[in-house]
Amino acid sequence: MLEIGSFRSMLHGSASRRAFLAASATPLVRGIAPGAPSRPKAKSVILLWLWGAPSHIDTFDPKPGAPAEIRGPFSTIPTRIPGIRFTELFPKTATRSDQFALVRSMVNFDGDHLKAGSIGLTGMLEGKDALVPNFGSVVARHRGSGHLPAFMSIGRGNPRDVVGPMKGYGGGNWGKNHDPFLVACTEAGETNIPALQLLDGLSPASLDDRRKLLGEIDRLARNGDQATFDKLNSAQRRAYALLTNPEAKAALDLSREKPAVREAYGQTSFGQSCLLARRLAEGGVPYIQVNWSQYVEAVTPNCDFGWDTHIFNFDLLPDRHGPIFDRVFSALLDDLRDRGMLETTLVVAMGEFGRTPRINGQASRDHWPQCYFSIWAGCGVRGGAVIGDSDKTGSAPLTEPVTPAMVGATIMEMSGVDAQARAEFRVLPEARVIHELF
Amino acid sequence: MNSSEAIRLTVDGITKFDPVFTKPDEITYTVLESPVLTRLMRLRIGEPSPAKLHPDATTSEFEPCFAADGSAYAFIQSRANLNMKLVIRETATGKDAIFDPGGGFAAVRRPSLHPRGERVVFALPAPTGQEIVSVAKDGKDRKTLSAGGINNWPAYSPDGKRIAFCSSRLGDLDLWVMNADGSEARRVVKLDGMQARPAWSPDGSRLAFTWNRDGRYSIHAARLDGSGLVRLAEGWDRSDYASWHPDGKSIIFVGERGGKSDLYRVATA
Repeated sequence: MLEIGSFRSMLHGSASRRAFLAASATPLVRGIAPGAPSRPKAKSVILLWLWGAPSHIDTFDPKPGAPAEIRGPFSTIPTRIPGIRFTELFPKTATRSDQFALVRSMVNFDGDHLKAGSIGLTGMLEGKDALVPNFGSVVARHRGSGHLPAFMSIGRGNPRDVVGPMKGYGGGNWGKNHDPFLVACTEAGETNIPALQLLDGLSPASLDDRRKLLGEIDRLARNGDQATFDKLNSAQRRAYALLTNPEAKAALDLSREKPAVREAYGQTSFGQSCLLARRLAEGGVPYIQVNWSQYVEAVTPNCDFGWDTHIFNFDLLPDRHGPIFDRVFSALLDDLRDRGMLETTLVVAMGEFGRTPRINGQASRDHWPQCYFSIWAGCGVRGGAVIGDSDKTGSAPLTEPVTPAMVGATIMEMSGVDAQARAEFRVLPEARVIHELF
Repeated sequence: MNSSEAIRLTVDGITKFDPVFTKPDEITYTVLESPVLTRLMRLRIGEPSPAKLHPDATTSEFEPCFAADGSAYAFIQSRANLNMKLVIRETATGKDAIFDPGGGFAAVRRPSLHPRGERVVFALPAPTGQEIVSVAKDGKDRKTLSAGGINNWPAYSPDGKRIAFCSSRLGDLDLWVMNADGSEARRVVKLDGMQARPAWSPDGSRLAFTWNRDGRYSIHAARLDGSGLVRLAEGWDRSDYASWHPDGKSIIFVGERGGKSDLYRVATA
């Protein structure tokens, strides 16, 4: 049974484990039959992790009829779905709204970035303490690696805030061998492997020179330098193995892309990172997480604020975040579709929570785990579906809440980690798949 | 000169903001130098590469503005996470005056200097919304000029008597003009889609601004009564951050084409 009433009140602090499990494992509603429907499995998942938490009201769940202190200053535009509008910041996405599903009834269970992020990426409250693995770690363990690591994360680092790193970024209590393999990607499309920065003979300067880096790797491989190899930790060994494999190296090389494709994604780090994600999916990586990172708001130094727009929300969003996401997400959808990859690639875009419906004392919005959105595309997801609804102020779902556990169960199910496998892994054994997406 | 005859002033394609003419042949602008640093750059038209305005700067600086008489300039300087202050620098002495919005998550943005450097107007978040505020050149004597809704991108007119800005007080972000003391605020024009970043023509008769028209940011211009609306830059994925040349015959702007951002110059007539 849903505990909507108490559910909402508890969300202001930490939700109880009971409410969390109840919401995540709720039987299906509105006549949708239980059991996974027949559908293609995802060869790859690309998760666009909108770290910092985008405002749902200023993006994909606008409230044009709400009072000014809630609706904000942006006008809304129609989409291809009758009655569904986005804010004016996402015109390209709006014209592709028949190609993805939108969930408007997401809830998280903590208002802290690090905790909510960990819950959001593990599906479990225990994720806050790194006691459970990231969705990607589970998928990777189930699927195994090829010539590329099975769980790759693209960004300047694992998500963090001023307090420290987010604990749910990787393997959790499964250990560091299940962490994502981290690749950085600049706005010029240059890739970098942070794990290699401690390799003997590879200075930071050489890492900046990609050709030199690859030359050094090749030299180590040719010479069979066992002594150097023995010094490597597991992440470095994975990096070494990756860069000594021609196919793997090729997957990381964005210069192999046609200029028109690179331009479509735009000369931003997020854009080129998403292009890299597509290449990695093409190369057979089962799970790729692209971290929206601090490059879009260099006005905030030394930390990874992402979409955490506590100040000047209504300046940053129209200037940077909105146009960048709109361009890149649309380019990714087009690219996957044009290559015939959309049927076998699951694309998910979400943050850790939403932002306050009421504009704060700094003319911006703060954290709001009680209601937010996620976007799903590919792999049989019903284009144009809008799952769930929020109330007239975007404060809470009016329909069944969709939880991080349900997100995780859906991603895993689509990746072949079925209920039995999840039970064996002791990961989200009771959470239901979001069948309404398919 | 039309968009097909636009002159491309930079070719690196990296992210840029806020270009402004500081001399007839010189532009200052902001560049995203690294993922964690914005930097003020100065480009002399005709020279192959720009120079750093503040070579020793180690924190992000952006949104430069200059007094027409050359007496001072101002810019925003990042001080800490989500905290930005206003720096007003006396050109002759290099002496700084600071407007400090306070600790924690607090910031000012989008400054514009009075043509004689007497005051600086900028956007400041407040419990009532985002205000347009001015301070004297010493960073003191704060006055709220426009409150209610989200107000942003103030710009002093060439004679210093008026301020153009954008405001959501009637719903969406529209183009407005008010007297420099905040009185007689009026909407210039009602258009569908956000308007932003107004820039005065040197003779004070027109405003160039960014308009989110049909899902694309493009630079338009209109007279102060809203008449004579015309698109100034066409053919870019996004054209934004307009600034007039002192002779009034052209603007510079940031044009995004093929996913790359560069400075362009195009005629206004």
